[in-house]
Amino acid sequence: MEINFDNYASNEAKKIFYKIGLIGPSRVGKTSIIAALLDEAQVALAGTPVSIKPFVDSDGNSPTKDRIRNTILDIKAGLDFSSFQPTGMGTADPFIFDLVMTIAGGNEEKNQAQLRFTILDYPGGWLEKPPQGDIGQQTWGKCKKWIEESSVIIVPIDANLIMEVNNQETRKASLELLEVEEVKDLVRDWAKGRITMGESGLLLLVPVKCETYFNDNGGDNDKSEELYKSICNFYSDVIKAVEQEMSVKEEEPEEIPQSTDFIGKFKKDMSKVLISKPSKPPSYSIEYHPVDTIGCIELANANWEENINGQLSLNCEYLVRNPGNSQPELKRFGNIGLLNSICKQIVENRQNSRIFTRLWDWFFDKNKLLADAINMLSQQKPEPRFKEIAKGNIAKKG
Amino acid sequence: MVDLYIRTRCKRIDYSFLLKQPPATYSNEYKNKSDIEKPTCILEPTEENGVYMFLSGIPSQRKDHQGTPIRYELVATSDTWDSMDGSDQKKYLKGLTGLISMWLKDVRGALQKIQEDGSDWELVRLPNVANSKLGELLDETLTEQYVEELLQLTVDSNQSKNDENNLNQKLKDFLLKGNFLQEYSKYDSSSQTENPLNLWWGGVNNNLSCDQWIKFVKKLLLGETKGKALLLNIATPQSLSSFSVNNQGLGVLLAKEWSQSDTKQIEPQGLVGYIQQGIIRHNNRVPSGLQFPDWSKKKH
Repeated sequence: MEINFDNYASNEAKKIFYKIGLIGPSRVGKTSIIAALLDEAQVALAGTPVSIKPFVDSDGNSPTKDRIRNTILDIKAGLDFSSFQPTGMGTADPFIFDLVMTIAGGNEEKNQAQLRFTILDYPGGWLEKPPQGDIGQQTWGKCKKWIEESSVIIVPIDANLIMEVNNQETRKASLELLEVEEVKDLVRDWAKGRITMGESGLLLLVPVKCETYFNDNGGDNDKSEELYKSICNFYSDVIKAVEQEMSVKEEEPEEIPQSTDFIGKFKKDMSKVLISKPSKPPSYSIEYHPVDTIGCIELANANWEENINGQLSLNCEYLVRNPGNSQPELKRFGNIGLLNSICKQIVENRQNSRIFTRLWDWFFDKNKLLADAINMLSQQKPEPRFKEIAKGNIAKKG
Repeated sequence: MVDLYIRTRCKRIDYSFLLKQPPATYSNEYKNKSDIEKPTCILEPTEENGVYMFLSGIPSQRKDHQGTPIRYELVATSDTWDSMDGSDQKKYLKGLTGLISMWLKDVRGALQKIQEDGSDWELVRLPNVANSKLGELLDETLTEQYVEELLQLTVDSNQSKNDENNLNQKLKDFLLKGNFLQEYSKYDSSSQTENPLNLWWGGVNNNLSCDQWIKFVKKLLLGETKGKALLLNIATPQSLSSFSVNNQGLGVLLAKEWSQSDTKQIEPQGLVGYIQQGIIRHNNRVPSGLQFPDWSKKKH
């Protein structure tokens, strides 16, 4: 269904929308990341009164819940005892995954404060060719605005497309299929948006389908360093774009205009009071979070094939690890690290944004348990797969 | 004039309408009530008194570069009946009715298979159509090579008037296929039972509900009545009450309603809903057998 973007436009009493943007090509597994993240988050929050779940509207409907459930069931449908066939549907229209973090139970559940993680997904093909027509252009404009306003950007990356490159031709095809150039442009726009808003930003590079390249979740091969280096190489322009836009530059001494009139002086003094500096300068980070969204499979064969237009694409065949006589169990890995980083970013935003500080202070006062949960998740030790690619303070606006 | 628009993808190019975008989209009121990536039908009047149709969840035999099955979405728009010219247009609309009927059979077939399989987790899944007669017919008309070419032209914005005319002609011929007109003929009789309710819902499992829904679709397309026909895959009967306001005629099939019971009245929302619905019924002179809801029995 068409999204009413206005529903997520403002933070009002008792609910705060924390916008997250996804920038990735089509069929990379964006929905699978969200499904896996939710699953691991529920495990991490087990035993606490805090829960994170798909938002359900007043009519009892939850498109997020349905889409996540279908993604999981599609994955399960593709898994037989010994092999895995890619399933899923692909995205044809924008969709907002709406997850709510709240205190479970209680008589006043409806009146409780809510933190809503709202994650925008849209057809990956729009990166290369935005939709045509008035309606399409308007919708794409709203998607871009959402991305610019997002504190966190997730860039899902198909690890197979990186690791199965074997010559210049397949490298070119990989760069095209991953739409790296288009990702760079949109990430640059996002970085500019962060600077304009004077708020911190977090860019998460998230390789998916990593099962074959790590030996920490049931696999035998460790090609993790190769994967990391290749991704830094493939995405070097994306990383550079963020650093160029966001890293702090030499600050010019501020010129103080000589004002003699009383009103001008009053305005200037008042602006100093109203626009007091936040406690911490805004910062940016680029992090690396490889994840397994299925876990129990491994790449058996990968062949580059040409379509009728002479374009290459990668045809992958997967086998189930240690096949038995029962339905293989999903064994996700690494996704909780994403939530931990997002929570760390929430705390970071609170420390460096006046608007966030005001909202969050109110919010945290209202619901201490939620604030504690966010703090708890934000302070988790990073997982071994995690790497920090870059970090720094954001350049001053202008 | 009836215009047909097709959205699909090919090996590498993502979902996009072939050559041209429809001039309008469906209203926002179905938000949260259906996931358009699964079978959904929206048939509603346009502001210009024409008809807008959206149909999704139609599988193709083609697969994308990841080996994932590709699907089609169809949009059709038609002018108001006052501005239509002659029997050709009527023939296209009959073809469209037959097409929707065939689509519904595909959706029902998939749901019945899920029930026969008896898998618990399949029962909570949104309908996923794997085999489809309509999909086959579309694949015949839009071959893999032709779709690749059209999508490449679309993303390059390189299409000529000739390309558009060729596609238009193919799609018009597609609508006049014997399969659709034959399907339509099953509903081309006034002897079938119509639903006496103005605003109703039925489960997609129920034969009578589906027959009445197609009959309603036919009347909407042929300009014999006004209203909306929907097939939604997330909505529940309880969540339809918002539709009771400002709708003169509405028939909804619910894909997640598994009961075999016949159609039911959509319960209005609050006092304003009751009054509005009462006024609409009065003006439309709905059959007198209809009972106004008993307020005293309404739960508070």
